Amino acid sequence: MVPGFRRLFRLSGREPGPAEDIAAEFEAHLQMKADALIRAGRSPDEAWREAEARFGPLERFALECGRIDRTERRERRLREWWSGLLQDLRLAGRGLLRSPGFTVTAVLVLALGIGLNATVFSVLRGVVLRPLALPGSDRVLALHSSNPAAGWPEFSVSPADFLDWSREIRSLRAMVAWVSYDAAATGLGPAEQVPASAVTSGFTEVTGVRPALGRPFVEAEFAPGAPRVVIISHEAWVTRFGGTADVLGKSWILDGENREIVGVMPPGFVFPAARSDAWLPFQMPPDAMSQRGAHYLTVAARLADGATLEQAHTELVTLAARLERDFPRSNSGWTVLLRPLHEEVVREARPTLLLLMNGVWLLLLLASANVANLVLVRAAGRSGEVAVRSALGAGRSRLVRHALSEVMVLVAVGAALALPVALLGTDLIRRLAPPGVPRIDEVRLDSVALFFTLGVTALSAVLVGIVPARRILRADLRRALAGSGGRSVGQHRALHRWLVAAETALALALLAVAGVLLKSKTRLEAVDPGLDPSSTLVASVSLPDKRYPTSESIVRFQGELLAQAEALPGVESASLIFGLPLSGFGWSGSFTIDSVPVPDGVRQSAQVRVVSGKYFTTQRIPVLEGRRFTTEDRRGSRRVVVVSAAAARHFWPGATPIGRYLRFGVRPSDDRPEGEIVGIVGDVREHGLDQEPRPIAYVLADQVAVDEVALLLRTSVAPVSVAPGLRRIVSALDPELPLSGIRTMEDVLRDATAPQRFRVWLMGFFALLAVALAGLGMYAVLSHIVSQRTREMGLRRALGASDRQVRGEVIRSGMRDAALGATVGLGIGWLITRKMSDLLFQVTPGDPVVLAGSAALFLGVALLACWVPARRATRADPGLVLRGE
Amino acid sequence: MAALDLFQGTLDLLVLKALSWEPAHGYAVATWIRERSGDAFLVEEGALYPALHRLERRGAIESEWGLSENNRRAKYYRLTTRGRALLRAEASHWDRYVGAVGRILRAAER
Repeated sequence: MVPGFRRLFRLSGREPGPAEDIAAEFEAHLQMKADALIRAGRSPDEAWREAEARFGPLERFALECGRIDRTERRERRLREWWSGLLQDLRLAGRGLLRSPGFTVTAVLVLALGIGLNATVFSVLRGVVLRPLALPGSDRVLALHSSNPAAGWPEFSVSPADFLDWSREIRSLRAMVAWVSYDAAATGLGPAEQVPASAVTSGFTEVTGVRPALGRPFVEAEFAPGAPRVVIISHEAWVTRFGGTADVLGKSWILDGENREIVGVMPPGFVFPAARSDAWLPFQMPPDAMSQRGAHYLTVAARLADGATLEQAHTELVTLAARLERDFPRSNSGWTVLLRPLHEEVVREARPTLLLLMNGVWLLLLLASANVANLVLVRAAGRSGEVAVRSALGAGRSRLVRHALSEVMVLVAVGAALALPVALLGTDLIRRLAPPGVPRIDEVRLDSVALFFTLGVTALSAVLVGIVPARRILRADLRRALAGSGGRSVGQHRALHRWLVAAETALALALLAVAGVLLKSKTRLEAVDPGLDPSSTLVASVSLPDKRYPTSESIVRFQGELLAQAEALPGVESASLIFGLPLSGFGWSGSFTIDSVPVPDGVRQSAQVRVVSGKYFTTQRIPVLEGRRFTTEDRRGSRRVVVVSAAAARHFWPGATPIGRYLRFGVRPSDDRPEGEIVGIVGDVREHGLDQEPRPIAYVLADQVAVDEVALLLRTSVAPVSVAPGLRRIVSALDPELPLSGIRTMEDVLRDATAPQRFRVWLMGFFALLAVALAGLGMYAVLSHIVSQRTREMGLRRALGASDRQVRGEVIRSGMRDAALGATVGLGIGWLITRKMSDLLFQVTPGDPVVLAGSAALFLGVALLACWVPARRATRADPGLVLRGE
Repeated sequence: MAALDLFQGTLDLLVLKALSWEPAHGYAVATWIRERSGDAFLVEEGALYPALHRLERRGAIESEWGLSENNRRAKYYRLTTRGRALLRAEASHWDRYVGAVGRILRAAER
């Protein structure tokens, strides 16, 4: 640092410009030289000429000096600015340490605000915004069959339609269809189920990803009877095959078939969103072209170079219209729906995450307003100090920087603490997220989210710092000095009050949103699912068709399994179902009644559920009319069907269905679901608790063999305690058979409401935090105002005002602002909830009970925040106060 | 003897030395160097000023306007603590430099 020498110089007046300074210096030199020469006897003219000649090129030296001086000044200012800044930061740090309560509160508020924001942004980015990890992923589309008139706006694709599409559409470079299922993996330790996908030959071209090791499938491997091959995931390679390169050529037994491993996909490869450990070549059934009605393929495609989604859409719709004309029986009403694959993957998660994003934005705003409020209160207490500094000659920019430095320290520490908050937050969200959120496992606090956090930090620094800084620029020095500080608060009380009102509004908006979600969740959980989920164990059993090739072998195994399971101690009844309620699995089909052909254009379809005889007993689904299945109903005996109440209502309004004959499908076969209706059972909300029950036809597992079922055990003991016994039975019956998905029926139900719970917990957390913050803000402001008015209140109490009057006045002044904010907040809450009607169940956006409840809860907190300072106002001894503080 | 050219670094060293007695203005520094060297150097007096400003920028000297002995306003330069250290370092560097060059030259004569 240049010492006082220069500073004194500077204080004595404006610093002269470098050019003037140099000119004067040179001038003085020439003058002294000339003086000396004159004293030596030269004439003045001669002396000046001589002096100038000895000096040399004046202009050049002046330029050179000017350049040096300008650099010097710039460097000096920078040095001084930095050292001043460091000094301010040190001062600020010391000042903050002196008031730990304020500091800790402000830092925590900022850390939570920023950290939660980074968390939700990370999740939003990981789940929704981030493109799919495929090369050129924006050109990959998802394709669906669509029959809006029949109530299937989005449906799987039939093999025949898929083959026609892939042959004819020019604007698509490649198309892939796949079927995902769980395959039984054996030969490596205990049998287990692994997620597998059978894909058609367009797989490599559509994904644009080749195996990291080995090769993609070749065309011949898709032909019937081709050698059995498999491409495995990187994860399966590492966990099951030790990650060694000699895995190629080894074999893996999937569903009882020996498959040669020909490739290993790169790490992290998922398509489209869920992990699969085994990719197999899909072999088209030989009769694919005649199976137009069987929709079971999922389809994606890659756009041809230069083609657009619109072109592909036009082409596909035109083709679908032609197929509709050519095959009216199977294709009537069917068209095509397509959208970018990315949109397809994130569609479900988007509304929830955008809701959360709104929530944290409000919270961050609130946190910033809150810290601004605290800082403001603090700054007001120090306006005297500022005035003194200003009178002593501190410049405005210096004063503003000094005021901002405290905020900068707060924000920097807050941002640093926000990092662990965000790391913890992302981890928690990853673990608590409901099943089915795509790509949630890949969510990390990533660098973009970090930069976003920094941006947010800078924003809050400006938001928070700008308020006290502006006040300094407008500060009325004389008044501040005369009033010995503190007095200037009054004129800024309006600003405090606006902040309080704004905080109230934000908090109440969040509270209203959380309240609506909570009510929706409560309503949803109160819904009667139509079955009794208590004391029921669920497991899935899937029989590989290589070792259970015939219906008889499947039925024999399942009968044996049920008999042994029922004999387990603690098991009351055992049964099977294909299409477990609320599991997302199912099968629907169209049917005829008493063999009467269904006219074209009429939709007559129902859900088909294949169950074993005691299913209704195990699930405690009531029989409303007729009878349930009995032991008399078995393979080879008369075919029987039980329908749900919704089916009876829908297809036989006002009449009884019992005795009618239902037949699904067109091709006769031993396992075709058909039979005489013998009973009606209660409805089950198997499609979602928030969905109306659909018509269901139950057929008997003995008569319609299915190889992939859920096993249900009703127990008289804790359900999971019978799991080991069940495992023993299964491995004794077939050591190569995996038993998976063991959980209770209550878990299944809970999973079905998991998204609602997730939203409620998060928004509830945000809302409570918001209420706490707003309460804190109110408390801080009122405390401050009360402390400023101690003298006035003391005077009034000395003059006879009762404590109640004084207290009432303080509380009234706080609650007036809260009430204003509450009104606005309820409005904002209503606006937000209106946008989320598809997340709500049996609740209207402006639900008066919720709004009133939120307002009451919030005003209660506000009252508490006002009451504490108000009580303090009446605690001080008026005598002491009046004699002078 | 013909006048000698002066290297920039050498001029800086001489300026520091000139200021090591007492604060002085540019003209006095120029006079001091000329008298001490016996007019040995071929140096334009103006060339002194970039040297002075450069030293000031490096923090070796600092300046202040004052009145000369003849009551003329002049800019006085004063050596700072850092300037004294610099003078010591440069002087010893110069000694070693001259010594080394001298030894080589004498060795070559032999």
